[in-house]
Order: sequence, then C-alpha cells, then structure tokens
Amino acid sequence: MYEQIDESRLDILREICSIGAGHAATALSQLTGRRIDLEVPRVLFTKVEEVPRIAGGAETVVDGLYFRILGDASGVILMIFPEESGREIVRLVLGNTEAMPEDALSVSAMREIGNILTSAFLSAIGQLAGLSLIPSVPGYARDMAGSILDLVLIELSRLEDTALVIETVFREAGEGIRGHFFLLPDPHTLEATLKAAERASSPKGPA
Amino acid sequence: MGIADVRTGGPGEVLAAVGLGSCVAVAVRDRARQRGSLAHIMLPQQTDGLRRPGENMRKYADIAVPDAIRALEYIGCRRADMEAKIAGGASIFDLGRGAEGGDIGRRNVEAVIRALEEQGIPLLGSDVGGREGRTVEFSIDTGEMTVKTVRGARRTL
Repeated sequence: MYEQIDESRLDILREICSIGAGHAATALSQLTGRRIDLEVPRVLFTKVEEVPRIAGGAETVVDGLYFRILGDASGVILMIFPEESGREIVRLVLGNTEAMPEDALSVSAMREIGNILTSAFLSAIGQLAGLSLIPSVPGYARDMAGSILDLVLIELSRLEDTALVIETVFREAGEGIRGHFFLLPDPHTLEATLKAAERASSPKGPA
Repeated sequence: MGIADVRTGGPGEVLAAVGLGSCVAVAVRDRARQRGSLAHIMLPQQTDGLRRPGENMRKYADIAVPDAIRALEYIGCRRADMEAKIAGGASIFDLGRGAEGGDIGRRNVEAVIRALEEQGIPLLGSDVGGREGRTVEFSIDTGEMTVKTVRGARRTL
C-alpha cells in the first residue's frame, strides 16, 4: 500500500515532518527554557522486524509514549526516549533532581511533555494538510524498546509487513537529550496528507 | 531470534526471544530427543484469510504454533513426546477500557493455547499477562524457560 510513494513524495513527507518537528522542538524549548534542536527527520521504509533495532535494540530500556491520532485522520505516534534522556527531560521540566523514575510526578511530567510535543507536531502538519489532527491522551510505559514497539508493529502488520517510519531525533545542546519520534499514519491518512501537501505546494494544481 | 520467527535448536542450545510486549513466545520441546523450537508470535490469526505476496505468516499464532511443531517433526521428533511453555502477552500501555489493540496480548495468549490444544501438545507452564515486557530464554537441555523483566524479576518455568 506504500509502494506508490516515490522519491519526490518522500521529500514532501520529510518536509512536512520537518515543519512538525520544528514546532515540537520550539514547544519543548519554551517549556524547558533550553534550546532543543532536532535533526532532519529520516523517512524510511523498513521491515517491521527491524523497527526495534532503530530504537537501539529490543532490550534497551526506554520511556515510551503512545498516542492515537484523532480527528480527520488516524494513525499512531510513538515517542521513545532512552531512560537517561527521559530522566533528564523530567528534570528540566520539574526543575529538580530528586524525581525518581516512574514516580507519579515524573510519569505525569512525561505525559505532559508528550502532549505538548505531539500537539505541536500534529497541528503543524494539520495546518499544512488542511486536516484537524488531535492526539489522544497518551499511554506511558517504561520498558524494553521491543515490548513498547510491539503494539505499533501489530498495528502496522495488520496491513503490511513494511513500516513507514518517520524518525526525528531531538537533541539538547550540552545535555544530550535524545528521543525518537515515530509517526505511523495509516495508509489512507498518509495519502490524504500527501495530496493536501502537494496541492498546498503547487497552487496551480498538479505539475 | 526476531519477531514473527520460528527457530529450532538442539542439545546445549538456548533459544531467546527479547523484548516481548503483547507478543507471545511459544517454546515446544521433545523431552526424549533434546530438541526444541521457539516461536515469537504477534497476532492471534489472520482476519481476512488472504495470503498476501511475501507476507510473513509466522506472525500469526495459528500458523506459527503448527510450524514450530512441524519443524521439530522434520528433524525426527515425535509429537507424543512434545510439551510446551509460553510467556508474554502483556498490556504495556494503559490504553483505557475498550481501546483498540488494548487486549491484543490476552487474545494472543488465548490463540496460542487454542493452537497447542488443537495440536495435542500439553502446556506445562506459562507466565502471561500483566503490564511488563519480558525477555525469554529457553534451554533445550533442561526445558527450562527463564523469564526476565526490566524491573529485575526473574521467573523460571
């Protein structure tokens, strides 16, 4: 179902996600008072079995936030932070170093950060594509990357054994906060978003 | 081994499945011949019954469990001497009541148990459900299945 995506559409997709990730990074910078940069997203098609490797290996412990995309589209967003980065983000937001991983306050802070990032990301994409996109309340878990990615792989493999993974890495200068942002649109939503973006980028119609 | 895969092993070997969330690891062992197989399944069964080109059918419990048994028969094992242990099927994210995909772990476990029953393989032990991911090591020599979680729990089936 993804096979009709050629290089030029991949570029559009990358561009859409750069904008989304830019907004998300700005939101996180404002929240923490630190400058958070982002890497140009990688858009890749990969066998579902390979996805845990992208996240650092199936056994790597990560903080995971899982969102459903609601509104005019459907799909899944998964954010993954290696555990040190997760702790660092909580520290930046709460402004203290006493927070323990997995205490109620830290988990609530993680969820909130996830909400802010995801809302910023989706509203940027939505604006571009003329779609109203809203994130669900996030599910949170700290566990092995493999376990956390299971649910996403299952979603994907209902239709495909190949996943479209849009991966963005957040970096904070100095502290080295890293995170992966996986956007997994369902194929129909992807098509709608691409069409809208193409229309937006060429107002006179298809080239 | 990877997701949606079936592996077999002989004396001295340990088969491992890493980072199981809602997935289930199914270990089948011929106690008389020191051979075993491990399957890592993702979904209960294919819902539309269509075989798509290139689709890896071993992600489905109803395909992978018979495959794991057949792989052993192929190397000379006997069904009458086989026994099984399973682990996995957690719900990692709290997705709320009725959320789509929220009960996939439980359905995976049910499908695996059903498939083992259909194949006539006794289930000797299981460590399933809960909220935590698992890593599983299956010793072909002893038939022991060791289950570990990130919070340091360690159980042996």
